Amino acid sequence: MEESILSNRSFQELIKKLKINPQQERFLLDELSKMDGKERLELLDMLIKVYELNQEEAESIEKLRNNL
Amino acid sequence: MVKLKKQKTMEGIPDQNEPTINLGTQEQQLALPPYDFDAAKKQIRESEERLKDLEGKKGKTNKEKKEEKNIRKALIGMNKLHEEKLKTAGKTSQLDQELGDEPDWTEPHPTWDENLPEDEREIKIISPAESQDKPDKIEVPKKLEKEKDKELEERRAAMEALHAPDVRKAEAETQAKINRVEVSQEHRTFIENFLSEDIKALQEEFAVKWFDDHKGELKEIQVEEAQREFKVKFVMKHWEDRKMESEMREVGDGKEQGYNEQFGDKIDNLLTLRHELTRESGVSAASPFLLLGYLMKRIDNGMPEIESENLYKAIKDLAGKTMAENIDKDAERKVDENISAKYINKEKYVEKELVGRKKEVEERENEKLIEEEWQKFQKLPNDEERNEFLIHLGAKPGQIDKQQFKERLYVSTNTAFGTNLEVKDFYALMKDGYKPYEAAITGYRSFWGIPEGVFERVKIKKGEEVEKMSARAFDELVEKLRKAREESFETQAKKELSEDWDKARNSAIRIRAKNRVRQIAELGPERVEKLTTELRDRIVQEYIEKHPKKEPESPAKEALPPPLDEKLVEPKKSVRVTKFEKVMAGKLIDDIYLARRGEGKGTGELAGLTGNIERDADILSNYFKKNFAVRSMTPKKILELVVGDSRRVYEEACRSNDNIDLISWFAKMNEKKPWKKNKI
Repeated sequence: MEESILSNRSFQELIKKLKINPQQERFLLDELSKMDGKERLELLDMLIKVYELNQEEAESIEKLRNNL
Repeated sequence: MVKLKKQKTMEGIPDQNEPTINLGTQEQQLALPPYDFDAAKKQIRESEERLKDLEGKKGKTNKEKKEEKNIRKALIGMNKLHEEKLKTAGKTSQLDQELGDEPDWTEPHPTWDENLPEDEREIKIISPAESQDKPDKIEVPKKLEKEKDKELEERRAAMEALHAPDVRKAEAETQAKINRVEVSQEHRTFIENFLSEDIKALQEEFAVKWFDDHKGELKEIQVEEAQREFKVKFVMKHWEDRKMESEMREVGDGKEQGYNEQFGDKIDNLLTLRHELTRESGVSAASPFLLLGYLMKRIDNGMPEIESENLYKAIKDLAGKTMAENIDKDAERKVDENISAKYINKEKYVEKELVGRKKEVEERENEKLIEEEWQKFQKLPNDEERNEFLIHLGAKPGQIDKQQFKERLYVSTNTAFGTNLEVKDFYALMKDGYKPYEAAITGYRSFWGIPEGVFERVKIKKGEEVEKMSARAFDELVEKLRKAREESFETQAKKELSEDWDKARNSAIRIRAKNRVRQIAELGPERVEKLTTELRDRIVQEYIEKHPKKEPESPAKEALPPPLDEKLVEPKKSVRVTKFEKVMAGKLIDDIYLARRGEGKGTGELAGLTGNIERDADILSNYFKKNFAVRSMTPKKILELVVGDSRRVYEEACRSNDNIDLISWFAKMNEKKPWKKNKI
């Protein structure tokens, strides 16, 4: 059985990858275990936003470094 | 403590005779005292607590096990009754539960002035003694009801917003955007035109290359003799009314990649830059820096000076406005600071350099006078006249160079005046039109008892005229001319030194400004990183503020409104591989593809769809990236989803968090099922 993307482990891995500032990261990791499914989906939505932002940042910086 | 032994638990419903919870017939109920909501709630809460204790207890006795079973059953009944009573009383049970119990009227409580319009009523806190209202008469005040509704509405709206079907909204929220590329309208137009020219040049270059690469296929025309202009026109006409940049990706025999790298990608980038430049809002924070980088590169690669200067002005404006700086003013201030740190200013500089510069001016002016004489000599009508002039100067007729000519002028002057005339006087006379080399002194220079120069006469040519004067008058003339000339040297030297100072200062300012512009152009990654960090912090912070820290004993979920979608409450059921059959991602793409391919031709982002999925995958991929924020929906994945094993793509995405955007897209599609609602 594949592990759900809403599992603690998936979230922990994702949160740690997203360059979130340490204080906020600690808060999210602390709260994670207390969240139910609906709250996890809300968290996922927010993390996806951050992920997209990071993607955008990486793409922009790569473009800027390569000067187009 | 609830006396459960007294309760009958027929189908989990408490005994009718139980004084606090009565579940008789309607008639019986009407005869009984009113249902006590508080007491019922209290009993339910106590029962729940007891049940919790029993559930958590290890090594339960049979008696306790039985008690646990009974309480569970009783609770079902009590809750059911309570719900019914709430309905009967016309109360919104969920709302009441959510906002808490009814007010305790034995405590200080809110009241309001009924005579005022609803909007103007102020709620006051009064003690029970002050209150004239009877608790049983008091209903939930309208204002509080409104607040409840408003709060509920807000919560609902927030929940709906979190799961909005428009994925683009999420993208717009997260991208590091600025309002627009800041630059004056004049420079915006200039840069726009500049980019358009570059795009046109690349398109033409592509057209020529394509023409040359396809000579073999163009048999009907004289390809060998075709000129550049013809090639461009031919290729452009070939794709009349179609976009060159998209065509580039379609043509050629295995040459597409080359065309893309050489032209297509570059044109795409320029089109994006131009588009971002002209957009009025929602511009990527990286755009001004990308634009600066490109324009700086164009200047560095060389271009005509005037064009380069104009472009530089536009770049400087763009750089300054991007960083909200006045680049010239800042550079000027910095240069002046540096100058003053060296304890020097313009006046001191002029004073210090004046003597040397006066000398330079004098020498330059002298040379100029000699040059003029030399030119006049050169322009004499023939050799005979030139020889005659040379003989007059005491020189041998024939060839003479400028240096020898100058020496002859000196010698001739010296012959006339001896040591009485200084070199500077020689030039002062020449400057005023005299010809000291064509002069003579007659008479006595001095006589007994008579002042020097009175009987001495000077004959000197001025232009073509000969002037005669006493030696004294001549001396006075020379002195006057010398003085005037020296003054003119000083004025000229001061003017030049002042100009040199300004020039050096302006040059230092210009260099500093140029360096700053270059610096700004390179600040892109740093600025984007900074902006993104701020935005990331804000997104997370907003989430945290909406989801305050939970205390273990009072879980926050109790305060949440009832779930809008029951399915979402259950963890692990929302998005799982086992639910993939419902995702139907491949079907969704196929539907979009089928639906759009007919109507979209010639318009919109799907204009280029041909019906061949292998060729259209690229367009679909871009469409998904732009419209659904799914960056990892590559052409390869599109093909796999539509014609390959779409389940495998999803499973693969689930295994790696790197594909989180793809998973999230699947999750959202699963939740919203837009293919059913025809939302896309």
